[in-house]
Amino acid sequence: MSQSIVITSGKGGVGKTTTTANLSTALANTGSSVVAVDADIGLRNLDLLMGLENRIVFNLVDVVKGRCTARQAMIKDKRSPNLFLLPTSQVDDKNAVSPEEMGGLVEELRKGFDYIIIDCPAGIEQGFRNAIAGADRAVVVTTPEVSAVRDADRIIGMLQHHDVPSQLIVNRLSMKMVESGEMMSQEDVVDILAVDLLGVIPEDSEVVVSGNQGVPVVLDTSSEAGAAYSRICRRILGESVPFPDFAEKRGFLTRLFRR
Amino acid sequence: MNISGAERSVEIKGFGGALGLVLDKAAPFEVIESDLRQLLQDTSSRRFFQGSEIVLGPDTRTLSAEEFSKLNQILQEGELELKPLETNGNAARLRKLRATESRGSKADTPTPKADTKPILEEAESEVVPESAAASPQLALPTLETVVPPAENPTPVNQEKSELHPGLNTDSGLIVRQTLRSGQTIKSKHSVIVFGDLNAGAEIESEGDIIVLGTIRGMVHAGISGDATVTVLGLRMQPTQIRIGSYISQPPAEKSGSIVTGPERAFVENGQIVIESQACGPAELIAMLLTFQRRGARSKVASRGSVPAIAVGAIRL
Ligand SMILES: Nc1ncnc2c1ncn2[C@@H]1O[C@H](COP(=O)(O)OP(=O)(O)OP(=O)(O)O)[C@@H](O)[C@H]1O
Ligand SMILES: [Mg+2]
Repeated sequence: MSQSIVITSGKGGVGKTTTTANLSTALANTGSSVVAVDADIGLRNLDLLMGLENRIVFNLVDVVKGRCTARQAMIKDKRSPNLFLLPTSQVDDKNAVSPEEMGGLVEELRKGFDYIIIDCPAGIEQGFRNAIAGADRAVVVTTPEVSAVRDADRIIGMLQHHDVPSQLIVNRLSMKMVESGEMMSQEDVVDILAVDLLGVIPEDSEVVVSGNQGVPVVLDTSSEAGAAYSRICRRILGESVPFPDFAEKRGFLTRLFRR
Repeated sequence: MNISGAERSVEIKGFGGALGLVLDKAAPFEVIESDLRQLLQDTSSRRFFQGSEIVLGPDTRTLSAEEFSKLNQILQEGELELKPLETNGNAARLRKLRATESRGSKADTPTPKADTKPILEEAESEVVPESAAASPQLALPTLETVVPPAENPTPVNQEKSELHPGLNTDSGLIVRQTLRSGQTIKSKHSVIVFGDLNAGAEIESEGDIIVLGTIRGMVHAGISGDATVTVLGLRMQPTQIRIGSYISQPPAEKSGSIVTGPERAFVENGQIVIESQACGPAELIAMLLTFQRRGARSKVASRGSVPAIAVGAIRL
């Protein structure tokens, strides 16, 4: 049974594309066949993070408009034979495709892949509706910032309205700042959003470095962020992986004073 | 919130993340049917709504099962579907509600006028705690959307409203979900939320507002000016509280003195006062039961009650 998962957020720049690239790579490395779909039409990024920019010939809009087949547009990953990228168009805008067309595309991709991971644009407009159209479930990415959490809340409400269940990734958590009371903890975020926590990614400069090189950080499991992404991957596969995710570092006293 | 001056008896409005159908309460049903058809024929609005789910807006006219399915049919022709307002909202639930309706109203449920039998009414026992159901004091019928206020209240109703002056109708709106940023509820009735009210979400009610969860958003009780109503939350971290024409914001340094238990806000001596209710479940239920009795308010606060703090209020 293939699964389609949309990676979404509401607020921009919180790590959707990074998450899409890393989870797609990690899932493919477990042997599943995976296609990463860039649904952020007009702001093409996913190909950069996967280091596949210079191989793009056709794109998602071409497929939807019948100018080529999905197979022609998909690019095989450099490293993993099970991983494909369906890049997006850099010249069109979000209205170039409709939710129905996206839904149809995802249905078609189901035939060939175990996992369809969809990178959603920021915002709550057409681009969002397109990206969630074919999704079985959603992973909502937020940073532990008030504004990002507020927007994630809005998005979760809208996903609920479309009957798409959501899970949460808290990205860019800085334990130091949490401990000094300058940042919301993962518990604080979960308390507000009241959804299942799928994982926590620490703030890690390796993410930026690897992103610039087009090599997903999850391939380097010695990095903190890479290890966190591979734990999330195992959770998606159904394994119950404990949250060493910095939780136990939090003392009783900090907890007491935060509430 | 009808729509004074609207030429059409039907409107579709954004409501939270959903589209809500707002129906004129007075218009004959045939007019509503034809207005809805017309609305959907209008191509520009049709394209706009297509594929969306429509809920029955709050505070709209109530429908019989037959009327509901008639409207739904019209909507389906326009590729829309009418969902009951809510939330975990789905067809199964609606079916259950329909079944309830055919069993008829319970004796202690205020009976609305025959022609406005609320389709979305539920068996009382389902939501109200047993002790409450047994008590005629808490005469909140449990609704999926809204029961219209009894327009010609029977003597029984009048008696009740003297007993509980704060509740301006005998009905309430029950919301069974966390209200998230961007979602709003506006009701002529008192509102009870089973869940949180998150920051960026809003409730406006002509009566009381009870949130059985954390209040982080904006609440306005007594929107038509009644300052005798109250707001209760199991945890209060509101962006802003408004009661009647009073408005308050929590003090800036609130983080220093965070109260974790239930708190209640009401107007006293021209100020919005927040009073900690520091109590267990039993007291909470007792409090809910007496909630409507203004006079009893000060006696309700029980064990460990913290002196009320005035949070300051300015008149709107
Ligand atoms: N855990 C992390 N630690 C440090 N930097 C990070 C982390 N996660 C993401 N970033 C950085 O944040 C920036 C935004 O990330 P990304 O492009 O994945 O966000 P996005 O949600 O896809 O943005 P957009 O809304 O524009 O599509 C990038 O520069 C990325 O390197
Ligand atoms: Mg992106």
